[in-house]
Amino acid sequence: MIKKLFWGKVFGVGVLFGVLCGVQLHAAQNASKIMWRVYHRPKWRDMHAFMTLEIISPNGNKRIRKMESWSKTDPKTDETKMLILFLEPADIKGTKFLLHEHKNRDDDMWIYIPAIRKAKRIAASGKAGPFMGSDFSNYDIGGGEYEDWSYKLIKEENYDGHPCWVIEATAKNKKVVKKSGYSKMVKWVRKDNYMVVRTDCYDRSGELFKRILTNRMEKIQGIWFETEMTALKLENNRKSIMRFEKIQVNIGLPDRMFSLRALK
Amino acid sequence: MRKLGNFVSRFPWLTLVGIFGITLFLGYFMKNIRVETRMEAGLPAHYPEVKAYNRMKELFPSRDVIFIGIESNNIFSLRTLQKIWDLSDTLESLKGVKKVLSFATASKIKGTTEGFEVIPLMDDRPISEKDCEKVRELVDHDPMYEGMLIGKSGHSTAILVILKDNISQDEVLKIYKELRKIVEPYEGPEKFYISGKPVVEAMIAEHVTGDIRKLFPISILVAMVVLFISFRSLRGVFLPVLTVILASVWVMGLQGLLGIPLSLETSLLPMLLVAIGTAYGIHLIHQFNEEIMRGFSRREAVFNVYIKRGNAVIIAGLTTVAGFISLVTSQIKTIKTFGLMNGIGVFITLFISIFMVPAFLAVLKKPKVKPSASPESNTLKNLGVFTVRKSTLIVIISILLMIIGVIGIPKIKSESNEITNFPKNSPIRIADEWINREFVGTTPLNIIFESSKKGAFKDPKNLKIVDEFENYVKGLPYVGGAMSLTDMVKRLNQGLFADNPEYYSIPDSRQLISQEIFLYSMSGDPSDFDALVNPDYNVLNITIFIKTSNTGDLKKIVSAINRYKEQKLAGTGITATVTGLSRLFILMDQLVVKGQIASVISAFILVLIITSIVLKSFKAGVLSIIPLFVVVILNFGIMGFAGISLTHATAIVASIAIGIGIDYAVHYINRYKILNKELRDPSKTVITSTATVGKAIIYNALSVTLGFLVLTLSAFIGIKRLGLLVAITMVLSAFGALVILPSVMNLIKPHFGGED
Repeated sequence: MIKKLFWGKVFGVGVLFGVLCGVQLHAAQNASKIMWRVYHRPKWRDMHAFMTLEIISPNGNKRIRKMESWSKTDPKTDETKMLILFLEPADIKGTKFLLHEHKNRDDDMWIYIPAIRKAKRIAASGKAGPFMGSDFSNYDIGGGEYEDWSYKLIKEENYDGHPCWVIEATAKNKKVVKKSGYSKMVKWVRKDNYMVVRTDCYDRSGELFKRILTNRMEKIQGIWFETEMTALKLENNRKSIMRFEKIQVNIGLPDRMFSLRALK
Repeated sequence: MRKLGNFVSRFPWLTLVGIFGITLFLGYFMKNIRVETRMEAGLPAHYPEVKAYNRMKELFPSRDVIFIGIESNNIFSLRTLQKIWDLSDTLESLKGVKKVLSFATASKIKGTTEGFEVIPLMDDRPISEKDCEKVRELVDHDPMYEGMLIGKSGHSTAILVILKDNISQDEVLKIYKELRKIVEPYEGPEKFYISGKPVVEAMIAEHVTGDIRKLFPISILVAMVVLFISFRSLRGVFLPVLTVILASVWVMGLQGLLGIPLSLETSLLPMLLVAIGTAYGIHLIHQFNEEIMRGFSRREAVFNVYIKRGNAVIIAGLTTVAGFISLVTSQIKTIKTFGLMNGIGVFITLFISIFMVPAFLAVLKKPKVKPSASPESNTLKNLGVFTVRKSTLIVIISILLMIIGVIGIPKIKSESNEITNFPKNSPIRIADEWINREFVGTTPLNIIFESSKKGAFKDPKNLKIVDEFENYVKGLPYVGGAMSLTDMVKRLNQGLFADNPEYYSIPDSRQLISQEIFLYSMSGDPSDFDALVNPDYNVLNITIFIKTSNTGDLKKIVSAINRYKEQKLAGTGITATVTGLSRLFILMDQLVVKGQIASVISAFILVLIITSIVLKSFKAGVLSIIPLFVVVILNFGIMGFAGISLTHATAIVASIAIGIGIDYAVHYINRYKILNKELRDPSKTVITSTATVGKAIIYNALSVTLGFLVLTLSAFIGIKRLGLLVAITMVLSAFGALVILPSVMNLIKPHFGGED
């Protein structure tokens, strides 16, 4: 259900590839075309990284979660498997999360609970629900579907010193609104590498309520990747920061790492 | 007075232009007036109870919830479920709404041997009996839904509309109006009941402005009729009425200018000014007419008005101001503001009367004044004779009345829940009672458990203490249910062990508790924990739903919890604080009572000082407050016997009664003083005083009484009762000044020394 979890993002990264290959873009890019490129970026075969998720309440209270993650995509089916090991806080140290993504049915998810030494199958709350209690939603992390939105180029402007397209994505129907929790998104897309640097999210009543910012991005083996992002709830000033460190890619992770047996 | 008289009689036009200029200026700011009826806004921020409440609101998102109850003979019928789906869907996209909780949006978390399943009760709009059967199977006999989404009778369900954080009352009002419009077409055969704190407050805000629009014109009309009867001339009607209208504009404008929001109490201002404020103009016009009759020119007459009546009018005004200002001693902000603004309002009325009425009289055509009948009335003379003959009896009866009044005082009940302001048969009251009957209750009480150790509430030992605590509280009367971390943990534990009811308990391992909570955060909605425990897990919040709005019952619950807390938590390192809306109701109640005592005492003292100075005798001052003393005690006695509760509205009555009622006694004593110098016989003086001053007092009391009776047309019970009580106290005050006071005077035969 948390389809593509991080991987939608990770894999979608390298539209840039096309750019690097010297595809010459016309100034009057059509918004849908731009977004198609944003959604369909090349992927790595596999990845290993350390992740930190910081959840900061309006009064400055911080909750920090640290984890280590491994993931791999089947090049034939384009389905991803992922394993996360939780390191911090101490209470949940050793807890593991395993995800098998499926194209045509709900994803399988399990959690290994060290206190009872058992793995349990879990079902996620909807995509619009929060990701691990943070201000990112599962939808933000999963990336969503290109086909769900109608795109319109509103303007072009510099953002953080980079020329960007500002594109409005409106939900095509009520189902999309329900699934994503958004009626509309406005995205700032960098012209040089097709990375989204800012997303303004509008809730079901059409009110701006959340902003997602890409604070840092790195190019790893020719593919751009967001290594730090912030989600900010404008309603109450709650925010969450997600950080990736020590990223290794294309290291040849074995399939058995992602089996249910390995989880136990 | 001489200077004032000179100025106004020489420059009447300038005075008028000045008055209207200020009116335009202040009138402009009326557009800034906001309405604020949230109870928290009225409470003093420095009280520990308020601090605890605010702290809780900081730690835990306490969102306002609008509760829509649905009564249906089959809540799982296709028609009802479709309505729930459609309504939930529409309400979710309403601006200001954070979340909607109903059959349409809820999911069931089911534990199996393999793991957990999250099953939405409805995937989509139900279209067949099969879809309905699925909902029924999922929710039936699940304690999670009982009392929350399924009512006691089994024929009721609910849609909970959770509002966004930090929204203003204006927005709440908008949401509520919008929501009512959305729900309306779904009525029948299902019945819909809408309630909840935001609704009550929004309705009060709505009615507050409605009240002004309805009652202000009526009170103006009443004032005009009274004025016409006493003057039978156009200017006699319009000058005082114009005065109070302008004064209302000034006060409301001032409120807008200063950013003081309109509350249930301050919304009464215009009506009160009409009831109280016409008197000043009446006095001035009377005097003017008298002067004209004596053959003075208009300007001379105006000058004489100031010399002869100026002081008396100002004093009558100032005592009323003092009565209102005494309310500043209250700890409740809305009462304080009401007292202050009313004091200012009366002062403004006085100011406008003093400047504008004579200025108008100076420029208007000279009136044809017919010499009125003899100032002495036979009936009143007989009354005077009666009081002199039966003085002792009257005083004894008065004392007996007071004793009866005193007996009634302990019977006074106090009430602070705003919902009791609505009549028993009003839709909101019916809705609230129905919801309280069917579901867990609409009045929340919170217990905040705290430990200095981070992560304390992942410790099984502590959670078990909290769990036992909660079970005790659930057993108390009127407690409808509770929501807490411990319930959540117990349910999760059961789920982890394949929904085996034996595992509905707090696990013994801290790790397991943490991991279960974590598991939930991966699978359910982790923000579900936000309201239950802080991120450091050292502050825990139990929300208890109470099925009564009666403050007395709430008090019993709170003191039971506090007693239990002493023994249960001793030596555990955990502290508990009882807070929440219910606790604020209790505080409000205590403050109303405390403030009532303080304001009555200070009103008496202030009035005593003013009258002593004015009458140039402390003895006269004391005499003047004697009838009021009887009146105030009778007022409380009536409240006690008639079951009229003391609320922040009715708490105002005594101060108004003292502030206005004192005028009658002052008039009387003043007249007595002057007459006694000529007659040198107290009994004769009493008879003549009653005969001459009686009519003015009765007319004055009548106009104020009628003015306040207009308030009985209000939509609020509190205001209705306020109007009725003030009306009664005005009649009693006149009675006190014309019957009790003369008897007392006749008995003690005071001789006021000094000169006039």
